[in-house]
Amino acid sequence: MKPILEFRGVSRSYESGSGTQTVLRDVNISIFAGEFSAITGPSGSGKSTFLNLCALLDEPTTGEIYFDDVPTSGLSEALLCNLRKNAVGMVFQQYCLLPYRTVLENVLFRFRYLDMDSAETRKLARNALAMVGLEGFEDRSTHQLSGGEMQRVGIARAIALKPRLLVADEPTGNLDSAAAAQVMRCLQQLGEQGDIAILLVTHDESLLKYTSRHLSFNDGLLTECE
Amino acid sequence: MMACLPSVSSRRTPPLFVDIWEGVRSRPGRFGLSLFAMSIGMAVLTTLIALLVGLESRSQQLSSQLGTNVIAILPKAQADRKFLLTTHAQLLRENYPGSKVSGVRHTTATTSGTDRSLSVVAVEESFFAIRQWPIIAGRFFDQSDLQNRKRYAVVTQALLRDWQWGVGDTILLKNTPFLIIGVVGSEDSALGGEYGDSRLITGETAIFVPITVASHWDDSADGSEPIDALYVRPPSHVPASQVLPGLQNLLTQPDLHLQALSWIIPASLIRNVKQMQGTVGLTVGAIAVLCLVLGGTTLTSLLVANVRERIAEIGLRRAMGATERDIALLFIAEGCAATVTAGVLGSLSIHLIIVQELALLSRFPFELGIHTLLLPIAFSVVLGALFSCWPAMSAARICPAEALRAE
Repeated sequence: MKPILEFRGVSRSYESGSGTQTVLRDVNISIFAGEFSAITGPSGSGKSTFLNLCALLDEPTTGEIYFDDVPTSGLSEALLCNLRKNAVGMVFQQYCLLPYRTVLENVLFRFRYLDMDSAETRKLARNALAMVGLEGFEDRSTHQLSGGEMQRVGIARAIALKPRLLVADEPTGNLDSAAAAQVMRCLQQLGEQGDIAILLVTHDESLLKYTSRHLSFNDGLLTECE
Repeated sequence: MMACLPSVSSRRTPPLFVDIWEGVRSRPGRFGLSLFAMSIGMAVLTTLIALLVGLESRSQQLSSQLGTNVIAILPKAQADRKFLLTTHAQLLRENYPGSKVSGVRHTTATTSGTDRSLSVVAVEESFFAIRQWPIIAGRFFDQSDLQNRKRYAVVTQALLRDWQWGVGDTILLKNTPFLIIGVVGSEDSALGGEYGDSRLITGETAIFVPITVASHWDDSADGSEPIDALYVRPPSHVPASQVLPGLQNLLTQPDLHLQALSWIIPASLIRNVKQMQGTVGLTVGAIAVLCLVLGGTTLTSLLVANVRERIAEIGLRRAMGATERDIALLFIAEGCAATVTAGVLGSLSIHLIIVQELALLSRFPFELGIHTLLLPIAFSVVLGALFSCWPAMSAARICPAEALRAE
């Protein structure tokens, strides 16, 4: 089986006043469809940088990232954007919902930069809301939602287009344990469908029970945990 | 894999209006401030366009009212009534036999049954041919009318309408009967106002009488037959500007003591208007530029603040697949929305003010039209794009990964 995402010798460095700071060091990993991977590690260990590279929001300093066997370094900005909007879904810790839009409109924002029929996008958005258990919430304002519900709207937005890769950056970071469990079960169900790879960054090791793979970062180095 | 890479050209135009409206309603105060600043600039710009176009029309109107090939000669000192005489008109006629020459003398008179003062203009028979006003009814004076000092009158169409007079009626001017023999269509009220000299105005409600009658009938006359102005129309194939130097040489001979004369030809009228256009363009234009630059910099600074506050939103949009161009377009569109709204408000407010015909504005030849509505709006699009360009570019250059970190 071919991996959806493959890192080959990827490093990421930043220039700062004190010199070059290497955040990721020689990362080699393959991510396959159906995997639900948890990424843990202390703050500043390179988790978020890794996630940004996975979501094609950043470029490696050295090495190559392959998306479905295609090296991404050769893609133009337009093609990278197209890949991002068609194949990658993102879930954020702070939900990143648009405050002046309803729940359904927030999910529809997933299609903002896509050329799709509006009836079809509404259908996909409603399906996504149903998948995260928010059927009937379509016309609600986001102000009326709890933290867990807001995060599920964020997940619905990310999965509305059925991405090949879903990256979630501490999606339960602001939630209580009950809401966090609800969100994790939602992600777990998505992962079990088999056609999507999920990457989850978390500090909470209690969430590992929901995931199928555990990756750990320490000082920019990635290790696979059993 | 390649199924995930749809062609770049398949994108439809993004639903920008929703995004713009959201940007406006999320920061109404900030939008309102830039709107206010730009509206003032747009109002001044609309005023400038209305004034410049009005002056342009006025120069054409003046040229047609004076006549395309007419020279008006009048003393610089308006009070000196004995300065220019009918003998000077005769001198010109003798030296320029192919040209039509008429002296003109203005007075006022009351007519029977009313205290209303009427403008009475004493002219020679060639006056109407010089000014090329159309005869509506009856006829003009002829040479024999002047020689025989006939108490005839030609009235304007407006006067005829106001007073219910007709050809063949007799009217009393200073208790002297005058027979109306013709009606003329004259609309040169703007001429004197523009030039700033009432002697060029005959007005829409004037009564024309033969100048030979006036010299005896007008109480102020003392036999020297003074006139207020001289009109000369050279033959059609000779331009007024070509005849002018000769006329000037003739009438400014030392023995005639006529050095202080104003010489008005269509070109000089147009030159006056053009000078006014230049002055107005410079002063109002400078104010407009100042207001627009101030409004524009306000817009820029507010958009810069917007960009700083919306870094997370920019990150989200990039994560959803927005390109740098999409992000730049969003902020340029928001800037243009502010300036276009300001353009519409500024332009409409000036239209309303001018249409109200405020006394303060009545001296200025404003001309409203589609140009005063569309030009400021078109200009506002350009300004919006110009002043939002820098914040838009800086928003587009924000690294999406950095932007999401701001989340």
